[in-house]
Amino acid sequence: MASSRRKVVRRHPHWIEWTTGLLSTALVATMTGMIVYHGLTAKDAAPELVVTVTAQRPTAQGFEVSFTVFNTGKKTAAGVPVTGRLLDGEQRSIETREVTIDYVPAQSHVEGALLFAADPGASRLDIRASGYNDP
Amino acid sequence: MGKSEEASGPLDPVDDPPAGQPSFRTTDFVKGLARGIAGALLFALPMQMTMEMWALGFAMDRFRLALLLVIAVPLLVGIAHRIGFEKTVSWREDIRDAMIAYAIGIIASAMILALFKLLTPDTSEQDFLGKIALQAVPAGIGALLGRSQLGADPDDAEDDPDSGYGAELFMMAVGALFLNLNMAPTEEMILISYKMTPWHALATIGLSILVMHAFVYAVSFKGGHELDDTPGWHALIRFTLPGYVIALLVSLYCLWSFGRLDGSGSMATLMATIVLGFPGAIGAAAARLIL
Repeated sequence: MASSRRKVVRRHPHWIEWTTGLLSTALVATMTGMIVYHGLTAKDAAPELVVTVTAQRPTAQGFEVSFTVFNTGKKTAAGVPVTGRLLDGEQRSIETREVTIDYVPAQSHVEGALLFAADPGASRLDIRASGYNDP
Repeated sequence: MGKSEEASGPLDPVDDPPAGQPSFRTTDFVKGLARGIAGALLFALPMQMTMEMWALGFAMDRFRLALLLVIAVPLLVGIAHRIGFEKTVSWREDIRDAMIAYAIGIIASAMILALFKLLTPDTSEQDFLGKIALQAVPAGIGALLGRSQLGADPDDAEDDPDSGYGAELFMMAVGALFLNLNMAPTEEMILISYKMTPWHALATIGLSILVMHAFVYAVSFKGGHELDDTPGWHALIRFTLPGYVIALLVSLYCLWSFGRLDGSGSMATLMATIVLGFPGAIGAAAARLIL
């Protein structure tokens, strides 16, 4: 019963099988090469986090500041708290808001937003990633 | 053909209608439907009980969800062509079977999600539709598989030994997609890829290919393939490596569909694809044996 269902791989197949096979081999080889190259160049890598503000808009209960966190390093950062502070003329903090981004993968970016009560346009906005841990 | 006639003897006396009299058998059809529902439950429950799948119901990009639903149609028709609710001869019947399976998938998903109180009359329309639609795809595949894998007919899998190369690749894609739909929504897939170093990823590629090849050609499972005098590396290049590439493409598609790759750089994308490609490779190999 088991043997009656067995399929036999033919020795001389249609050319399309070899074409598909060789293309796949090339693709897998390229992928392997990319990973080896990455492995050799990414030794002792660390996350490099940069936060940039992309938009500000008023909402029903205050103001929304959208931002993008870029990780230009070759290592993923996890649990990244993004802290935004509104500072007055004497560098005193008027309002502080924080949101935690689960993962910022290596050489990738993630979008998020902070919600303030005061208008960020009226004061100086300081926004930065205040830490990370290994995934 | 001779094989199937002698096999469906005393166990299944209702199976073969007398020649020249192709009658519609209600009991067979109802039995097929029941198996479909059983299959939908068996194969889709893990997804129906996954938190991320509920969230994706409303969080998933609507265009990507619609694309998944559209892709599911030719996929189900293709599966129905090989294994249907009844023995099918024409594409028209395959399409009918595929749509029945899709409907079973939708109904079964709606029932199960309502049972778990995930769907209530208060659920917003987008959430309601999204949750059911997302679950209907694996449940529909499950409904079709239920017919073939839970069925008692020894001749149900029309597994003619010379099924074409395209059919072989298609079944690998189905197997990979099935396991991937189970796992791609979970956070663990990307978390594993973040924890891995490139060297771990390399080992995963090697193991995926090894397992795929061994599953089909070496461990002599029922339904395994024989090489005869064909060298092993022929089968590796002609079947295993294309199968692995298919598993990777399906993995990439699933991750993208569920928004797991948004904003990711090329290396992060590649690593996550390789991680999800591992279960995909096993699914693809298993599909070649089972289906």
